[in-house]
Amino acid sequence: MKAAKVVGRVISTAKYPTLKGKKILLLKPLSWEQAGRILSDGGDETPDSERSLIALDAVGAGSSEYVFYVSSKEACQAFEDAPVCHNAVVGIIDGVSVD
Amino acid sequence: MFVARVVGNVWATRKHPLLEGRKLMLVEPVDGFTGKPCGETQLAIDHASGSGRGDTVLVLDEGSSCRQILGVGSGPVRTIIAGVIDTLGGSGKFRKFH
Repeated sequence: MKAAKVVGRVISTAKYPTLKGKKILLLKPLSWEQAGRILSDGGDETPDSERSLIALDAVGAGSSEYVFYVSSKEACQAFEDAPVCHNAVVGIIDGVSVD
Repeated sequence: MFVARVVGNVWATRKHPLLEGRKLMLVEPVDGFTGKPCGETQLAIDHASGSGRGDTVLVLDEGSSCRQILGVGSGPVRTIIAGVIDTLGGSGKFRKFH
C-alpha cells in the first residue's frame, strides 16, 4: 500500500454500472518518506509529482487529505460489490514515523 | 516474497474494517546480505511476527496468500510481514541479524 494526497474528485455520469454510487478521487502519489516529511511539519504542501491517479474511495476521504491506497485485484475487494477499479483508498493517514 | 527492513510505522484511525487493530508497518525492500535498499518503501500489515523498527523481515506481496494468513475470504490486503529473519546464508555468505 502506498501514500498519496487527495487533490480532487471526478464526477462522471456515463460510466460502467458497478461504478455507480462510488466516490472517485484524484490522487497525487507520494513516497512514504515524502508523506512522513510533509505530515511532520504541518502537512499542507501539494506534492510536485506530475503523475496523478484515480482511486475509488472506501473510507470517506475528502479533498487535501493524506491517504493510503491498495492497487490491483485487492482494490476491488475493498467493496462488497467488487466494482471495476485498480486503486482503492483504504485509509486516511493520521501520522507517519519513518527513518 | 521479498526481504525488507522495517523503517517505520503508520497510524490511521479511519481505515477499512479489515485493517482495524492491525499494526501498519513501513517496510523497505533491501538486499539481505548488504542491507542496501533496493526498492520503494511500502506499507505492510504485521500479522503476528512481532517485528519492530530496524528488524529485517520477510514480506509477502501477493493477495491470496495474505488472505489465507488473515483467514478472510476477500479483503483489500496484499502486503503482509510473514516473519522476522534470524540468519541469512547462501553462496558462501552468512549474516546473523540479532
